[in-house]
Amino acid sequence: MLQRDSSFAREALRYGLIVLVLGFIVFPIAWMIITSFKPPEDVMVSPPRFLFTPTLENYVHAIYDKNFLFYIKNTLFISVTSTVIVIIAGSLAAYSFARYNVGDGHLLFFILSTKMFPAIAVILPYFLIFRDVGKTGVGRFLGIGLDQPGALIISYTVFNLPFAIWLLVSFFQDIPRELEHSARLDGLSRLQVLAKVVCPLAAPGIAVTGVFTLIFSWNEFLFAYILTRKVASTVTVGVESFFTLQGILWGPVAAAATISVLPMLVFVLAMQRYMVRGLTFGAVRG
Amino acid sequence: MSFSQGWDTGFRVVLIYVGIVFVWLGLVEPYFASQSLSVIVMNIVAVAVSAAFVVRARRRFTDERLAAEAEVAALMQEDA
Amino acid sequence: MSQSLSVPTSRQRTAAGQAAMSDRWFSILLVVPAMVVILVFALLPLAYALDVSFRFADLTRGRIGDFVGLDNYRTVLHDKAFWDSAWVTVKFTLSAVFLEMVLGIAIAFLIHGATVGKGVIRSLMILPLATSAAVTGLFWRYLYDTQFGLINYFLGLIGLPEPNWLGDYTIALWSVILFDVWQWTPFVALIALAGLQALPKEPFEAAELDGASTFRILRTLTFPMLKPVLFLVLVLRTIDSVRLYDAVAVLTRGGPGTVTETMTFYLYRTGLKLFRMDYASTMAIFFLYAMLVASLFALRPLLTQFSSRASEG
Repeated sequence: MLQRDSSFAREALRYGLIVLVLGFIVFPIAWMIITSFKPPEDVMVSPPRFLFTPTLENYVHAIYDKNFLFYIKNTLFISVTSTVIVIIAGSLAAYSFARYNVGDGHLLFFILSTKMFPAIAVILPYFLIFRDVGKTGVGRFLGIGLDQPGALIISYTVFNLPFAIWLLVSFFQDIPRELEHSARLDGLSRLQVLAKVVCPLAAPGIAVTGVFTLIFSWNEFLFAYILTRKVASTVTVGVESFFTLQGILWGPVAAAATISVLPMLVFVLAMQRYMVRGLTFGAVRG
Repeated sequence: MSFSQGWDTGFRVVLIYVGIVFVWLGLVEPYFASQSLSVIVMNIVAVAVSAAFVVRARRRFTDERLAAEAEVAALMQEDA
Repeated sequence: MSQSLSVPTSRQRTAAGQAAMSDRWFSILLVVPAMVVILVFALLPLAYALDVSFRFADLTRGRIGDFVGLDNYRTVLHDKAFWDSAWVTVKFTLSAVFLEMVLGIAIAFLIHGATVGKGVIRSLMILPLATSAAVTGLFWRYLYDTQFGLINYFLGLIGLPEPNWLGDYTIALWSVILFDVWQWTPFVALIALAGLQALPKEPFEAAELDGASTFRILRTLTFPMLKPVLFLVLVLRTIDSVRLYDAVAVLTRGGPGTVTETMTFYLYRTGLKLFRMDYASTMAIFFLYAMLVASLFALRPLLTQFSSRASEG
């Protein structure tokens, strides 16, 4: 009897603590979404108001007055293009690492160490190089230069490739080799094996890697902030544009932040099962 | 020395050399009257330390290989 | 783990000669695109930074200038602001990573013991990881606001002092740390939880039968078995904390004064606000050097962990 009581108390304490932790974790995001629906007169008040009539005014302001959809469009174009390049180059390389062990591990280690690479160390050369390339005809034609989407596509591709390769290697390793062997014996060429046997099997892993790359590009701030001004700015920089001389417009900021965060929240929830694996470069298979 | 040992040693030597340069410029150089003299001494010290490191690494690798070979030889003898 | 079927076969092919060559070339061809991208766009800029670090480069006075030898290195090494920013980075990294690891592991144990609702708990924990530090960090400024902020409102309700989170010299850095802890503790917790759930059951049952105390089981079984996972998390978190930029940029911009100015932010300010590309490039080289030395100690064990897995797979 006594033991039952103490175990019940322990469980109650456990769930109490869990609720507390979850409250702390969820609350800032929840408050952001709530604030985005507040009428302007209820945003800048002290004490904060919890009851209000929801309105879409902040969204209207963010989308029409601040043209926030423009940033979404930019971000979508940049992150999708970069993700496609990363996935193609990354899958080929990862397959080679997983099956043929190219470079005996040294190459793979080199790729991992570029992940350690502080982005800030290359940001100045990038700034200077893109500034100069942007002035040339080729640069203008390809859209590579300061405040051009090409500059960000390149940066995101470089910085997501190491991650993608590591994660993809772990997915390719999960595919049994027997199928490839028998396909080879059936007379398919290596490239055909890759295209017809391996790719369909690895499709879920490739999709997961793609979504991760997309999330990272979407949320990236440093490159976007330094390499763009206006034309090619992404959402993370766009939210900053709500700083005005009169101060920060918190209602529209909340609306813009919600618009830019929501797609990623949906993605991440859909990908939950792979979150741990993705976040550890495939090392922990959660 | 195998390729991968050489690669590893080379990487470490570069780090050691550059590290000595940084420490020297930060802490030792203020005690020198002439900057060019300081740079010369600095390079001599850095080269000496790097060389010592390489020699030590090589010796360790040969020792390891000899030990491994001896072990293999002992095993072979047991088999025979 | 799939068995290492192709290793012996590829060796047989080596003996076959012709086919082996083709295998080798095929595998090299596959890595070429990725390697070209990485080498050209990661290493070339680095070489450029190295070059600039040996020159005079004040962009307010025009182009990249003459070769000046080691002078930039001397200047930066004797720059007090540089060392201050390095110290801020160290303080931030130690405190944030320590808090995240301790809290994350504790939360993982908390959730691991829960019987119902694990799925829901996990999905809620993931949310901060999906958001960009630049966007949510900006919104945290609203939470930290002394007038309209919710945090001070709650503190006021329970009668605690209401600090000026981002404006006070003594606590601004802690406010940035708190934000980082909010965003990344779930990361540690999720991975530690995955590690806990992957532990084999038998040794624990045996230990319990032997009557070992909970503490003893933790010390001799749980933590040693979790160590690889926890070490990985520690390394990943440390790398990210040292590079911290986004949160500082949107929360405090290095202020008040320079108390929250991390190395990355100081580098950014020197290079792109004061336009001293030479000093900034020199700092970038220092930064890279520090990362390389650290990687020697941190990445090696990780690599052996990875490569032993790769050779198994």
